[in-house]
Amino acid sequence: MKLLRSSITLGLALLISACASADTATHPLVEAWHAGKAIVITTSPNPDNTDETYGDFAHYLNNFAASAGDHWAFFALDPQASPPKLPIEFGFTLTHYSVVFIKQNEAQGYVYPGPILEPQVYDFVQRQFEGREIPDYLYQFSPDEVQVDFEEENGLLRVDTKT
Amino acid sequence: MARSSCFGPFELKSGDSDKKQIFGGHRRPNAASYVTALQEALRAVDIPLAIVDGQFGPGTEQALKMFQWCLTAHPYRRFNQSLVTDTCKVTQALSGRLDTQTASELNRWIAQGYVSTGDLIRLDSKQLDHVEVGVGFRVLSHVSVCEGDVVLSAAAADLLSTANKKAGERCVKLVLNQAFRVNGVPVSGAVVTPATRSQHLIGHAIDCNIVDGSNWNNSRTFAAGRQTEGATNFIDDMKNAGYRWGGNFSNPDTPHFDKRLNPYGDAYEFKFFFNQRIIANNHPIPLKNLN
Ligand SMILES: [Zn+2]
Repeated sequence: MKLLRSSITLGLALLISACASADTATHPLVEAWHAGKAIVITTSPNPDNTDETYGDFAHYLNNFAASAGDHWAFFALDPQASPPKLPIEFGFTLTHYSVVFIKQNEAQGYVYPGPILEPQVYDFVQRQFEGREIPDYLYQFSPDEVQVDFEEENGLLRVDTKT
Repeated sequence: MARSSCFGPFELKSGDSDKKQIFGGHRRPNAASYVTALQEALRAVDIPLAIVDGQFGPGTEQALKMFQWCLTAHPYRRFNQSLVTDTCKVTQALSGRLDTQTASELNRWIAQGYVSTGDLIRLDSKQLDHVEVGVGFRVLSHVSVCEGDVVLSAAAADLLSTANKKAGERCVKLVLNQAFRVNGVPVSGAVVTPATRSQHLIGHAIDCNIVDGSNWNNSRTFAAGRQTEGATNFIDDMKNAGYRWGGNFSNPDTPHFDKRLNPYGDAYEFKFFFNQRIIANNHPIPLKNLN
């Protein structure tokens, strides 16, 4: 599946924000943010049901979602949806099957560029967001840190690379 | 229930019909119900068959192939809620025809009280010196499965035993994240659609990290080309032993190793059905001793 390696352009991300800005006040993503929930967003193009890599990615994500608890909220960003649904803007290229982790009042969010194929990645972020101890080895699974802001004026979450 | 002579003297096949009195492809006006007897016998050994109607159509042919797969693919039979190993070894083509051997075996199964099952086994990870289950490894929800059990197809048990051996030779440790995978979505729902065909779904795959000293060779380690020499050597050993490494997939999946079975063949379809049914119905899973 060639899609996996292709990337969603910044233009698409901007389009997402432009189209989504009209009705964001009560969007579940914004509600989850203000409620202080840990939020997981993944890009989810059409799945390739016979691809082992996709299968592993879907398995670990769904398993994590099933066990994470009520303080976590999960969203799939469908780049083919028209108009795009999520009120979020990324200031960087987001590859397919990437996973973004954000939470209000955290020093940073995280982006994992591509499919997460190891549950330790989820374990790391969960421990970080829940303020639990992180064993040394888990730092080897840390995703990239990103900066997250909520833009009150247009009701958008903005995610940028950390400077 | 079918008795020993119920299938008649003909090789029953697709197109045969009790109603039309066609058996073995020819009209034989002997007023028997051989196809119905076959269909009832297949149901008696718990092979899925939607209708018992005396017509040998695609459903009966598929059911017969599934029984033939059980004959030759593995020795496990259910018997009185438990599991037995059939010592009678048979090599049988998946022809979908009731040849002499298939008829004989079907009669023998019914006489013995055998019922069909899959080839899932449990391997105790504590018996493996160089493999351990990771924190994220999920214990399957099944009455037979204990903490530390790794569930795989019996036909792919060598994938794990070989990995354990090669890891020892290369002085690395394997941390398992997944082996057999239950099909479908979690009860609480799915964020993304699960894959419908995978070597995990039949028990022919494992996902693991190769830990070399304090280095966990993970997906990003490989993506950056920073994997350790021990990991590289271990992977070469596994590939030389005939297994696939996910790092060679067009969409790399570096923790993944499998013993591939063509996902579009009958053998995959049947193993998928029987092995998933073991979990869904809590059928027994034997513990296999790796030593
Ligand atoms: Zn896998």
